[in-house]
This record gives sequence, structure tokens and C-alpha cells, in this order.
Amino acid sequence: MGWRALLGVLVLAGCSTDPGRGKWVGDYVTTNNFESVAGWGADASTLTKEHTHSGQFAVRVDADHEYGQTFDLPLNQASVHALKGVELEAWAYLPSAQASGALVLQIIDAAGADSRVVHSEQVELLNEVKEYKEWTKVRHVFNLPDALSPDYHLRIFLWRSGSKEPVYIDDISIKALE
Amino acid sequence: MFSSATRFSCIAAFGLLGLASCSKSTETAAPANRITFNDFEALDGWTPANPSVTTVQAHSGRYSVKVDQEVEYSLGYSNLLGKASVSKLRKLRIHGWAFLAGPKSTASLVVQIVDPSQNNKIIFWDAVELAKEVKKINEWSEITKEFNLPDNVEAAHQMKIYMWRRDAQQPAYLDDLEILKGE
Repeated sequence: MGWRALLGVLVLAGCSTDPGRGKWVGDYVTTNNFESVAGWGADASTLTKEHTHSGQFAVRVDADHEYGQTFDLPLNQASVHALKGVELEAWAYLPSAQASGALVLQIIDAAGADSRVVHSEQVELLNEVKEYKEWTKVRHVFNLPDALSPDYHLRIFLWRSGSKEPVYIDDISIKALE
Repeated sequence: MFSSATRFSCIAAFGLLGLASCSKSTETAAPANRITFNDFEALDGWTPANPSVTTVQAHSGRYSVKVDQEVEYSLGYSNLLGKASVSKLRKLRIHGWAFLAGPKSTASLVVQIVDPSQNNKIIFWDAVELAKEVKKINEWSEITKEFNLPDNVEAAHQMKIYMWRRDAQQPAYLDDLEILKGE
């Protein structure tokens, strides 16, 4: 193969035009800047324009909203290979030390009448955020138990956790650790 | 003939070019007149499952939205005009990427404005046949379309923008859909 042909192949491969099927973006289970929620058929009740890290929207929990917009997908749809864990990154905004709130990861057995929490771990935002009224990057590695059923759901959300003041997050990314 | 070292550096350089040309448009600042944008990447897991969200084809990332013989209307954008834009909308500009699987992918992109206070009476309806906009079948084509809205649209009217199958016997896909306030 001549080098021009080889380059052509490389460039095409980079742009995934053939066969054009959707490609995983890096190792990410999901990313969300919460810009494409309002108006697109999703529940936008925990979206706010009050404080945002990027764009027009962020997620807010407060006395009327216990849980922020939630990611929930069966493990076998959340990643290509079995997940050993996930690396969560998000930007958080706390108005004061009275704002608690936590980023929660749960593994849910959704089969049967009642869903059952198989595993749960949370990051207390007050432990991560040192400056109030500023956006702070929060990063946490969640390790998952071994031998989870691929039908179990991975659920990630912002929880008010008794906070007396609103709590905000934006630009969340969940990277697969396989 | 090129030495193997030269060949490698050429390949590396072009590889970088290839990557650069694929960089995501979402990372650039959104234009001030943007009403909304969706690359359909942050739906799966975040919203109730929608049959039009698919990984069969994608212009960017993993997902696009489709219509086909099982899906009459794609996931679309729906909002009150007063929430979509702080000033009165006189013109809409829709920009995105469309992929028609074959000559029978006769789907349309629809802009509809209804009045919820009058039992969703249609104030405005227009549709663009995607087959007239795409350059070729079976590849992604950039589409840009402007819609002039009538003078009687009001903030309390509901705008809906979506893909409609019409009589399509083959799938049609949309991705990276941007809705802008027209100048």
C-alpha cells in the first residue's frame, strides 16, 4: 500500500465514517453538561440557571428536590467490559458550610417487585469543597464489588442529604475502570 | 520512495490531522443565539428510554436519533417560545447532520408551533424533506434550514421540532442538532 492510501485509511478511521456506527467516546460511561435536557423530553425539575459551571444549566437539589437528575443504566449497557469501578468527576458549588449534599453511586438489583440496593458509596461534598460560592472540581474513584450481575443497574446522582441550603453540580463525567 | 522513518512521520502527522478534524464542536463556546443543541450523547441512562435514540449510526459519539418503520417521530425539542427565547422569535435556523439509509428514507424535519390555550391549535407548521437536503445517500450530510415564523407567534405558544417518518420505508438519522434564533 502506498503511503497516501495508508494515510487515507488512517484519516477515515479517525472519523469513523465507515461503517458509521456509533463509537464509544473514550472510556466514558457517560458525560453530561446538562445543556441538552430541558425541552428534550426529560424531567428538568432539578435543572437551574442560578449557578452554572458551563453553559446555561446545572443540577440543583434543595428542600423541594431530594435527588438531582439521575443516571441509571444496566451494567451491561453502561460499558463494553465488566466494570471494576468508575472514576467520577464533577464540578460542585456549595453556598456555605450549611450546604451538605453527596454524590452517590449505587448498584441496584431492579429485578422483582422491589428494587434492592446491592452496593452504595457516596462522596460527601463538604469533605471535598473548601471554598464556598465557587465551583470546585470533585474527583472520586468508586471501586465496585466483584461478580456483579450484568443486569444490575448502575445509578449515580446528587443527593441533598439533609442539606439546609441548595447544592449544585455541573459537568459530570463517569469514566469506566475495566 | 520514502525511507521508513519519513513514512512514519508522515503517517503520524496525518494521523494528527485526522484526529484534529474530528474534534468535538461542543467544546467551543456556544453562539449567543443558540436556543438548544443536542448530540444525543447524554440521554441514555439520564432520561426514560426512547426508541428513536440509537447507536446504529452516529455523526459524533455513540448516539443519534432515528425514524423508521417502528418509530414514527424522533425524539425532539419541545418548549414554550417564551422559554426558548427571551425575545420574540421571528426566524429559526436549524443546523445539524442527517443520514439517509436509502432512497426510501423519505423522512422530514418538522417545525410546529401550537397554542396550548386553544386545544393545541396549529399556529405554524412546516416540514423539510431531508432527501432534498442531503448530498448523498448512506453518508452524513450537513443541513442548514431557515424557517420564517408568522407574526402572531406568542411566548405562551409551544414549539416542537422533530423528525417525522412520513412514508419512509428505510431509516433516517439526525445528529448534532442545533436550533438557533435566526437573525
